[in-house]
Formats: sequence, C-alpha cells, structure tokens
Amino acid sequence: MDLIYGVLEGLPFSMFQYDFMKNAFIALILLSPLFALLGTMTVNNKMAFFSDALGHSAFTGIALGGLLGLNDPLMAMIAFGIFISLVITRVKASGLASSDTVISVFSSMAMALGIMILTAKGGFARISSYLIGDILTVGEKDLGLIFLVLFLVYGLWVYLYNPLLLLSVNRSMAVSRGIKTLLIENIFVVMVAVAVMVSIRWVGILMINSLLILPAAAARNVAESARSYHWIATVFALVASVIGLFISYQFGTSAGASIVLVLSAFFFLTYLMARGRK
Amino acid sequence: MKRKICLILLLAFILTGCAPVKEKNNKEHLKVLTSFHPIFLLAQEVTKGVDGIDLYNMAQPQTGCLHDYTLTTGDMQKLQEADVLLINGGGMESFLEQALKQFPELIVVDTSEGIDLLESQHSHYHEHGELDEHEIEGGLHNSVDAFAHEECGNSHIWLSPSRVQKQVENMVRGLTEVLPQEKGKIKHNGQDVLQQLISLQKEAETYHHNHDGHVNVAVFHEGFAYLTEVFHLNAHVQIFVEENVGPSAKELAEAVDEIRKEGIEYYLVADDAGRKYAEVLAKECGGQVIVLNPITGGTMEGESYASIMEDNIKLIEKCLEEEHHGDS
Repeated sequence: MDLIYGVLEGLPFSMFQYDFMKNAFIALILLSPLFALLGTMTVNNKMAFFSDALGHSAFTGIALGGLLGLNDPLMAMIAFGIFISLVITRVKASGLASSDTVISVFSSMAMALGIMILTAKGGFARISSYLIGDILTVGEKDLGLIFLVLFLVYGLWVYLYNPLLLLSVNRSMAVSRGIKTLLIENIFVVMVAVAVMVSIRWVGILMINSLLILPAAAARNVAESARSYHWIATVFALVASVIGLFISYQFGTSAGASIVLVLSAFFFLTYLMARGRK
Repeated sequence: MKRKICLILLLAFILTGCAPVKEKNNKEHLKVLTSFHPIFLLAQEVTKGVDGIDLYNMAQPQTGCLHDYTLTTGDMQKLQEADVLLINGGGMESFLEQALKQFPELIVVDTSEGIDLLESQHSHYHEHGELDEHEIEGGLHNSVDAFAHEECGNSHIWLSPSRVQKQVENMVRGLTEVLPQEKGKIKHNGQDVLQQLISLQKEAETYHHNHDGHVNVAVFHEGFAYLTEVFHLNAHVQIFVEENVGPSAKELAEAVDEIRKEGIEYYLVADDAGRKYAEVLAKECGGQVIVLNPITGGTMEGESYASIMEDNIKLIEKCLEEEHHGDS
C-alpha cells in the first residue's frame, strides 16, 4: 500500500498529496473496469434496468438490516440483492412478461418496501449516507474488500465468458450446445448483485447504474468485435473516472456527477463517430 | 371474472367500512401537535401535568433533520385533528407550507418568534431581525401566514442553549393563550425548563471563561454552529451534506489544507451523512471526531431536551479537557 501511495505521490499532480484522493483514485482504478466488464453483458442482455432495480433493492436491504439490528447492513444488502436478482431471473425466464416489465415491477416493489420499512421505523438520516455514496470517502480497509470482489469477479469471468457471450448472442443456440443457460444467467446476476451492493456505499444508488451501463453503451457504438467491445468499455471506464475525479478536484464539482458526465460525453462522441462511419 | 370483481369490490367496501372513523375535535381535550422531535421534547416538559392537553408529535422521532422530509398520510391525519401546532420556525418546516393551506383554522405557534438566527453558511447576505410585519403579539398566527416571514438563516436554533430559552417562552405564551385555565401550571413548568436551560448555558460559558484561548474546530452539521457559538469555538471548516450532495474533491482538499493550517483537532459531527467526511478528514489530518446529538431524533423514552443537551455539553468539555491535560 505504501508503495502505491509512494508512486502516486511521485506523480506531478497536486491532488495526490491527499490520502483521500489517493484512495479514491485507487478505488476507481479497481471499480470502474469491474463495472465496465459486468456492464457489457448487462447491455448485451438488455438488462440496463436490472442494475437500477438492484440499486433500489439496496434500500430494502438497508431497511432489513436495520430491522434485524445489524450494525453494518452490508450482509443484508448482499443477501437481499442476490435474492431479488434470482427472483427477477426466474420470473423473466417464465416468459409471461417482457424483461423490462418484470424488472420494473421488482424495482418499484423493492424501493417501496424499503421506504415503507424505513418510514415505519424511522431512520432515513442513516440511510442517506448510502444514497449519496461518495467515492471520496473510501478508506484503506475498504480497498481490500473492493480488491477481493474484483478478484472473484475476474475469476468467474474467465470461466463464464464463452457461455455468457453465446447466451447473449443467441439463446437457443446456447441451449443446443448444452449450456445450462439458467445456471449461467443466475451466476451472472449474482455477480452483478454482489458487485453493486459492495460498492454502493462509495458509488451511491444514484450513480451505480451509470457506471455499469454507460461505458458499455459507449463502447458498443464503436467496437467491431466482442473482444474489442470489452476492452474499449474497460478503457472508457478507466479514463472517464480518472478525468471525472480530476475535474472534481480542479473545479469543485461532485466527483460522482463529474464521472457520469464524462462517460455520457464518451457516449455521444462515439455515437457521432458511429454515425459518421455509416 | 365478474364474480371475482364483485368479491374484490365487496371486500374493499367492508375493509374501508371497518376503518375507525376519527372525529375531529374532541373538545374536551386540546390537541397539540409538534412538528418534530426537539419541539416535542420541549412541549412535553412545558405541558407536564397539565390537564386538557393531548400532545403528540408529527415527524417520526428518528427522521432526523427536516430538510427533505415529506409528509406521510399519517402526518396529514394528525394535522387534520390538531387544534394547535407548535413549530420550530425559521424555515425548518418548509415542508408544511403547502399542506397547511388546507387547515386555515389550525393555530400555529412559531417558537422562533423574535429570535436572531445565525447566518446560514449558504446564504451570504441575509437581513435577520429586520421588520416583521407578520409578527403578531403572542406568537399566534393563523396557519396561512405563519410562513410568510421565513428567512433562510440557520434555523437549527433549538441547539442554541440561549435561543432555546426564548423558544420555550414563546411556547408558554402560545399555550397559555389557547388554554388560559391552565395558565399557572404551564407557566410554572416553563420556569422549571428555563432554569435547566439557563444552568446549561452557564455551564458552557463558564467553561469558556476558565479556559481562554481559541479552539478551532471543523463542523459537519449546520446546527452545531450554535454549539460552537456558546463555547466560543472557531468553526473554521464547515461541511454540510445537503440535498444528498456531498462535498467535491476540491472542497475536501481545501478542508484538509485549512485543517492543517489552523491546527484543527476536533470534528463536530452528528451520526449522519456528514460523519464519514469527518472521518476521512480525521484520518488524513489527525484529530478527534466528536459525535454529538442534534436532538432531531430519539427513542422518545426517558429522555428530555435538557438531558441530551447536557450530554452534548459534557462531551465537548470532556474532549477539550483531555486535550488540555495532554498538553501539560
């Protein structure tokens, strides 16, 4: 850790003289590629609202954590996040309603349930720190947790990459190849759920969806192959978060909002590029 | 299908029919509603043992500050039933402004009447204390113009041991006017509360007299400006998380520079969103995070305004004291 700090301090940027900036920078370097990667598949499978639903279900997780008397609601959040993602996948797979409808139903339900519990019990002030979730408040210990999740997701990713890709391109082909589609899908949504819940207290409910969807959306505009799609999304996410952090430091704007805005700019630039090419 | 619909409709009728119908104005008891926790605590003391008053509180005790509070249907019901509403005033209850138009007969007692607010950090210019054409003798308003003289100063006046005395006086005056037959009892209670508050204020001020020299602090809750005032602490750094937006990287970096420059060693926080920023800064620059109670929420059992405030004051004294011993 000291080594990384030392390297960052050696860089000719005044922002790295502050520990909290170093921590935020490292956290972004770890988190943004993670979300970009998960985002590519989320976008492919037309699940952009899924992560939104997850973010909202964090409400309920926090509320449940409070009901159970947990000091740190993280475990309750993860448990409820996993539960709701599995239920969404299940209901979605039944094919009774289209996936955006299903997701929207669960998103509203989770949020309403969370708000209901919280208003019945009181305690909105405590939850507000999760809503805001600020990358600038990442501590050294938190970085360890982020790194662990990152490690697990990358590991699973290598293992799941091919079936997931096939699944997103052509579901029936995947089935004919003997891929257990439901299982793969379940593992994927659980991964997203864990990643979202772990990072939400630093990213915030308002921003987490942007971090997941925007890099992939921008990359999709310009990528020419599945491989380049993933790489470009990762690079976009990295570059945008560093620029966003820099803007926040330089101009005194909110760090999260700055990052999202840079990502949106990427999307529109790549959109124009893609149109120009056609 | 038809049968199902009929059944559902039938159920709906039965269920709504079962709901108890509350009558407005049970005239035997005066229903006094308070807008939120600190006002409720004070009113509880003032109306202790007074006959003919039903006291209840509107915002849930754990809601916290009211900046982004929204009314629940339960609140509207309470407003509907209430005869008198006690508010903190000074802009704290802006969420009520719209709703109160529906209850023109509700008597509103603004406890901030005649109190100078500290300047809010967010409004650089502001003319407090000037004119108040709406100031009505006795602090009574009808509900529509109770908000007309709102300003954007720091409305957390209940955290000021001196200003809260005036709030109690306003409350006593308002209540005795609507309940003249209990005047003696209410005034007596009011005196008791005032005694407690005065001794609290003295305690804080005596501390300042015994330990001169200026202590610099960072403040993370707007209301604590009133606590730093009574202790004569210099709040050099003020960071408030509002409307769900935290400080930017630049603001935090400037805070770090300021904290180092001024040698700030104390961070006054409440247990809310501001706390984590204080912890980040304390980690960066060293110093002690002091978690105080903004009295905006609680369990409602066995606590009084004075006891919480005393805890706050004692905690600040203890932390500052330790430092003094550490130095010598």
